[in-house]
Amino acid sequence: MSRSITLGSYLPGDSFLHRADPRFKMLLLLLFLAVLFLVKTFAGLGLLLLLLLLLMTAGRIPLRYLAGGLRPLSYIVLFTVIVYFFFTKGGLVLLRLGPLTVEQAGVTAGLFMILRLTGLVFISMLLTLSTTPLALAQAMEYFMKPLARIGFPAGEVAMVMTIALRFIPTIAEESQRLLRAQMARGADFEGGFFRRARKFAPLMVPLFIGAFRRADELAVAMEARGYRIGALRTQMREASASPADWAALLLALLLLAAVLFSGI
Amino acid sequence: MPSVLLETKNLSFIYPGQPESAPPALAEIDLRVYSGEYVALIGANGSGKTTLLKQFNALLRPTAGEVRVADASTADEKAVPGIRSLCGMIFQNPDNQIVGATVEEDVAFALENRAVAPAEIRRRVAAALALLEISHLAGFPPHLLSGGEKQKVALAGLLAAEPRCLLMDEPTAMLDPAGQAVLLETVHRLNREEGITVIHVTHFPEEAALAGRVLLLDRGRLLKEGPPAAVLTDILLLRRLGLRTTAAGELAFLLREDGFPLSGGILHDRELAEQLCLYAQKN
Repeated sequence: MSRSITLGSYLPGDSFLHRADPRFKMLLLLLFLAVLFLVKTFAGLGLLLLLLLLLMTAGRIPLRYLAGGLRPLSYIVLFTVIVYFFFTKGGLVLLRLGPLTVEQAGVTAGLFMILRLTGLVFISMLLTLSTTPLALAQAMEYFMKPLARIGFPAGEVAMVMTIALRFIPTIAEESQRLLRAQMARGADFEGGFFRRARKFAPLMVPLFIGAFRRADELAVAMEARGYRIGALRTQMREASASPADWAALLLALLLLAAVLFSGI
Repeated sequence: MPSVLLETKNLSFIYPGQPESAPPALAEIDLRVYSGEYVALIGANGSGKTTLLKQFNALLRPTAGEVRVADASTADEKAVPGIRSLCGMIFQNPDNQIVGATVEEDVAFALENRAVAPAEIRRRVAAALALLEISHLAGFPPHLLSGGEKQKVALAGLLAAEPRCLLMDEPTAMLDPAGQAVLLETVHRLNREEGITVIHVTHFPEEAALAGRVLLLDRGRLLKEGPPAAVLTDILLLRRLGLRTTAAGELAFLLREDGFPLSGGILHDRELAEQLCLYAQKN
C-alpha cells in the first residue's frame, strides 16, 4: 500500500481508536473541542492534554505525528504570541522595548492560547489519523440525513464527497504523467514560487480537460449501473455502534458537565 | 429455440444536435439477439457500434423504430431501471467506470442503487468477487489495481447485479495481452456456464472470431451478419471498410491468392496450421 496517496493523514492501524464508530468519533471531537474552550485554568488544560496524550498512546499513534501536525501551525502560534504578549496588559511589567511592554497577564494569556491551539490540533489529529477519509464522508452523510427532510440533497452530497476521494489519487497520477511528459519535451518547472506558478498553467489546462472528460464517462457509467438522482439507495456497510462507543460518549459528556460545573 | 432477449425493429438514431444533412448514427436496424448468445459487433470507427450498444441499456433511445429488451421497450421510462439491471454495461476505460472508493464498494454500487438490503448486498458482492477470483482485492482502493484487475472489478460490479446480458464496449482495448486473455476467458466462461448473453464491441478480429455470431456495421447500417466463418472471411469487404480479419485469416487469404489450395473459412491459427500440414504431407 506504499503507493497509496492519502488525503489528510490516515495512519492504518487496528487500535480501539481505529475500530471506534466514526460517527461517535466525530461527536467526541465536538465534545472535546467544547471542553477545550470551556476550561479556564492551566490545571484543567493540563489534565485535558494529559488525557489526549493517554488516548494517543493507547491508540498506538507515534508522537512525531503530533509534531508534524503542529508544524503548519507555527505561524499562527507566532502571531498569537505577538498579539497576546504585547497587547494584553496587566500585572508585572516583564519586558520594555521602547514604547512597547510585555506584561504578566499577556504572557499568561498567550501561553494559555498556545496550549489551547495545541489541544485543538491534538484532538483533530486523533480523529483524522485513526479514521479513513471515506469513513469520515460516510459519518458526515449520516449526520446530514435529517437535512434531507427539508430538501437538502444529503445522499448526493455524500456521493460527491466519495467520488472526489476516489478520484484524488487518479488525478494526482495523471498530473504526474503530464508533468513528466512536459519535462520530457524540455519544460522547466524550477524557480521561485511565482515563476513555478506561471509554469504550471500549461499543466492545468490538460488536467482540467482530462478531468471533465472523465466526469462525462463516469456519469454515463453511473447511469448505466442504475444510479438515479433522488432515488432511494441502501449501503452495503451498515454503521453499527458498540457499547464501548456509547460508553465513550457518556464519559465525554460527563467530562463536559464536570468542566462546566466545577469551573476549572 | 431460445427466447429472444434483445430486439430492434427498424431502429434509427440521430444524435441530438447533429446536422440534418449528416448520415444518421444508426439507420433501419432490424436485429434479434437470443438468450445465451455471444455476439461480436465489429465495424470501423464511427460505424455506430457503441451507439447501438448503448441502445440496449437505454442510455440512448431510438429516434425512430423500437428497441425491446426482454419484451420491454426502452422508450418506456418505467421499464428503464429493469432494463438496466438486466443488461449490464462495461466500458473501454477501466478508470472512468469505477465509482467506489474500494473494490467491494464499487461492486456493491449497482445493488445500492436498487436499494437492496445491506446483508443481501454483502452476500452478492462476496459471491461476485469469488466468481471472478478477486476476493483478495475486496478492500483495495481502485488506483492500486492493474488495468486488468480494474476491468475484472467492473465486471464483478455487473455480475453482482445478476444481469442476463453483458454489453461490452471494447473492454480489452486498454489492457496488456495477459489482462486481455484473462478477461476474455472469464467472459466466455460466464457465457458458457451461467448462460449470460454477451454483446461484445471489438476492434480485434481475434476476439470477434471467438463469438457465436458477428454483426458488421457500416455507417450506421447493419451490413452483414452471420457466424464468424462467414463474416470475417469476406476479406475484400472488410478491406473496403478499413478492417481486417484474424492474422491466420489474412495469411490464408494471401496463400490462396498465391495458389495454395487452402479451403475458405480459415480464422484460427490452429485451422491454418492443420491445413498447411495436410498440404505438406500430400506433396
